[in-house]
Amino acid sequence: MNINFPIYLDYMSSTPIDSKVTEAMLPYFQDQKIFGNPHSQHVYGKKSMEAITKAKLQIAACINSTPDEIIFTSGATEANNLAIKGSTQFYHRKGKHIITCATEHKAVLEPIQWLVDVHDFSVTVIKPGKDGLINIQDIKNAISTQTILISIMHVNNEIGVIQPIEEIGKLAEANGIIMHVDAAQSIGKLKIDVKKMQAGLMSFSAHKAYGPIGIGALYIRKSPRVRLVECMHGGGQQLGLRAGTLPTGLIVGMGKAFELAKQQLPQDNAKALEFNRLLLNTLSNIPGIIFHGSNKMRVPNNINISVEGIDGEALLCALRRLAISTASACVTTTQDGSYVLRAIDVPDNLAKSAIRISFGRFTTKDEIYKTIELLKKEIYRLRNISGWRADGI
Amino acid sequence: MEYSKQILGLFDEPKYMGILPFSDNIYQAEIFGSSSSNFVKLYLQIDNLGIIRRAGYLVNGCPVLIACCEMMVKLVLGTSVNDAKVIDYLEIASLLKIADLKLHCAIQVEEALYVALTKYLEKS
Repeated sequence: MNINFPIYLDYMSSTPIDSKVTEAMLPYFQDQKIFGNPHSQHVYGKKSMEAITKAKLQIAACINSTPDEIIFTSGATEANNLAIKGSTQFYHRKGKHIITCATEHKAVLEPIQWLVDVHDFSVTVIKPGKDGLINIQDIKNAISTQTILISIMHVNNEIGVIQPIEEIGKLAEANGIIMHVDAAQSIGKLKIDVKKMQAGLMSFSAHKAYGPIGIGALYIRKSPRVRLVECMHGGGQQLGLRAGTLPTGLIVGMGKAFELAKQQLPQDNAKALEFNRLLLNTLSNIPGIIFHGSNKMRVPNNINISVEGIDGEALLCALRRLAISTASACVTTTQDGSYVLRAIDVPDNLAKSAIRISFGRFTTKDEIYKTIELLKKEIYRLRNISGWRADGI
Repeated sequence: MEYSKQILGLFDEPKYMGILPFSDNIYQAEIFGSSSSNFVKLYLQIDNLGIIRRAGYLVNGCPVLIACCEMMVKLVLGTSVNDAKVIDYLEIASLLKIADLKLHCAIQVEEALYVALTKYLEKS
């Protein structure tokens, strides 16, 4: 089948696997001697466990933790679920109040909502400012003697803003509250130091950082110890916190991906910054383009914009030679725009027409130039169809 | 969202978009959709014999809505008002192979046509 693949600009949704990661993983899917169940005591099992231990070291080095503070999960969604459900189940006698933010990922908001609905927890959902950033004072005000968990993401998956995690961590620590951080989008974009951030729990994903889909991890602080009740019951693997046979090959991939993320952080960021400037130079000269999220506290590889006078679905269709992401799909007449954009007070019509462009390690300058040309051309063309004019006449 | 070849063809290269300058024999319709930003503006120039001589539109909406406008104008150009009156959303939908979920686009365009033609009929 001959498909003309569009330019991939959806790195915040998933990243291509780095060839060095594939290389590291392959033996675990090919070699007849290293397939063993890592929890078995014979040499086949031990070989697998050795590989997992190495991956834990790589991940620990990337986030400044110790290897025994890492539990593998199927991805960041499971890590978030384990962190939120597990910690609240353990500490619920201390209090039943959680603080989170309206722009969190659904994998955080939904488990919390479940705790509210089914287990009588109460939640304060902080509304961020129009720039997408949390005001630390809002968290201070929300803390009560009943608060046991603050769950805030590091980098927002839609608008790319960076939340003041260190400040929130300090606040949580001072009040004896556990801070959980969804850091799925952070690896390879920012330096992560779990100690400096004073995080009690932190979720990670491999496939947002050039690793394979299907593997993630939860950092669980050893000292002072954060305790969890397991969510996945079974054979007692991973200190009884998450049962299930560990997928050696995927874990090796995650380890390698995190090692590369740490090594290549300066180059990856320099490239993202360059492309960010190229795109912004063009887009900021087109009237009626609204940029979402803080322009200072953000990762450079993400641009989220709305284009006035153009329907989001039409824009996405016109840009179908680009693999980008949108909140809009007017499948029914009542389809809402992105909840993240609505939470930061983006008007409904603009929230519906927002597009997210995200790029990364394997994006080329040529692809960015092509993207710029296409954006200019299609915005002009569609505005001709809608009769939109910058002066509103 | 998957679009038919017919929809994509008209969406990529629409021929009739644009305003017809205001004059006596121009009949206009404006139909807003589910949100304030979604609209179809239709312009028909109808001569004394009741023949649609020129047509144009402005539209802000999804690719299906844009293609529906283009298809409707294609159908009505050069026809009499009486012939144009019988064009309905089902005809547009079947020509463009529109999915059921997007039928509201064809309905919005049919409404625009109905309003413009009614304005002509009331006047003549």
